[in-house]
Amino acid sequence: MPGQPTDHQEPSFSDDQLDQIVARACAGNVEAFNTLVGAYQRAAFGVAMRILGDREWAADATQEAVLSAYRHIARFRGTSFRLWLLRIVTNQCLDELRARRRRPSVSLDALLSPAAEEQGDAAAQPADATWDPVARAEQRELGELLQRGLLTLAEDQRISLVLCDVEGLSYDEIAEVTQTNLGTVKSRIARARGKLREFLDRYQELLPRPYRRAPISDPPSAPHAPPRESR
Amino acid sequence: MKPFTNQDHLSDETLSAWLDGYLSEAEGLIADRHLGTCRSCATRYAGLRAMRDALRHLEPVALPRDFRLTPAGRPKSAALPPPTIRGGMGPWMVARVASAAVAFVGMLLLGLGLLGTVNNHDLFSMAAGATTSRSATLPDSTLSSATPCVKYPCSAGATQGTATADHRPMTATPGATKVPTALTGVVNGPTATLVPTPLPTAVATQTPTPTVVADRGQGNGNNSIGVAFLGLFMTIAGIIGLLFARRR
Repeated sequence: MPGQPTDHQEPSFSDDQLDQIVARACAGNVEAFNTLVGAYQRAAFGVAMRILGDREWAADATQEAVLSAYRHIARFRGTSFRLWLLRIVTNQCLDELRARRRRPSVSLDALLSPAAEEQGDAAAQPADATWDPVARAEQRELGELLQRGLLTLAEDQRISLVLCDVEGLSYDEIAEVTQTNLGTVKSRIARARGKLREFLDRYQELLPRPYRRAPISDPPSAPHAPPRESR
Repeated sequence: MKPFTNQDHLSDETLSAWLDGYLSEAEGLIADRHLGTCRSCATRYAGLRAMRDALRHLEPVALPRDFRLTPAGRPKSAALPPPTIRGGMGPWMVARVASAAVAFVGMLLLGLGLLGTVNNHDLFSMAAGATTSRSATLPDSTLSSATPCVKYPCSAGATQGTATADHRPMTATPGATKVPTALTGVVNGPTATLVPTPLPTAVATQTPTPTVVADRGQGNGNNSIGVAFLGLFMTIAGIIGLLFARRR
């Protein structure tokens, strides 16, 4: 695809390397800053995309967040650049949502190209001989439904759920990103899951079989797994 | 955290925290025991877990563009307007600074203009004092002569007031032998002096000619007022510019 960046693979750093890069970036080194952005831009855009639900809008918000991070890099005092960047991204998304509420508008790109996300997902799909188009279609359908469900949630709940279930952040990390306490994070995630579950229940026929709710009379489809290590 | 709802089922928060491994050991035991016996809660739990797994396995979104910056600290994408980079100024900041500078220069000019006007008023009083001392020498009849041979009208401004500070035409009568001196008014910038000049006897019997030597003072009053007005205009323009740019 023309203009498509080719180096989207997130590099991995040792802690020492990361500290050095962060230190250089904090000193105003653009190259070091770009290294960090290259490492976390996929996560940043992914979060923005799930929160806003529109590719172009999310791209603009992500770019603004990256610029804001660059302008204020000297203020970075946290332990994780990734969490700091995600915090800026979520704040930017909240600003965008508030602005959109004041001046409602529809993305021109979304109107002109409803399959934009589809193309984006297709671009993300690696060429694989074992790729099952039916499973792929089901996955896409489920993804679209989940995205629609996410957009019905309150913003704070949506952000917490995206950070937890999509990005896989721990509750402590979510508390750091959203600048709240652990109890609030737990509560938001629980309420978000409850509401999303209610939303999905209305579209049972659209859900792939593994995700349909089993009748109450049936035994649980899967035994409850032992909880993860308490953090 | 209260693990149960009023209907003796596990609350959503308990199920969610159990799913993520955030229950205490005691709460975990209660939840585990309850899930083993309550199909309703077990079903809710299975649904939550399936939903979480679905969210975790959402297809990753492809990046629409590279969000890294150019070496100048600008977005690589040309679609975006150039940002304000750290240490630099955006267009509105430039406008604010420029407006402030204009307002400052305007105030400076306004002050200078007013100062110049005040100084010229001082010139009046000096000239008036000189006229008084001269009046002691020159008889009133001479000054108030109906037939002036030299006349300095006072309509030209403050600097001309050197000779006409009392707003009367200054005149000298030909053949006035009582006047031993001629007055030489020297207007030199903001200061003015009237120097009595002894006249030779031959000259003294003739027309005493008050001589006004205007060095640079001609039009200074007008200039001061002009500068003050320019300063006022610039100050107002600068303040308006500041207010306009401040909203951005």
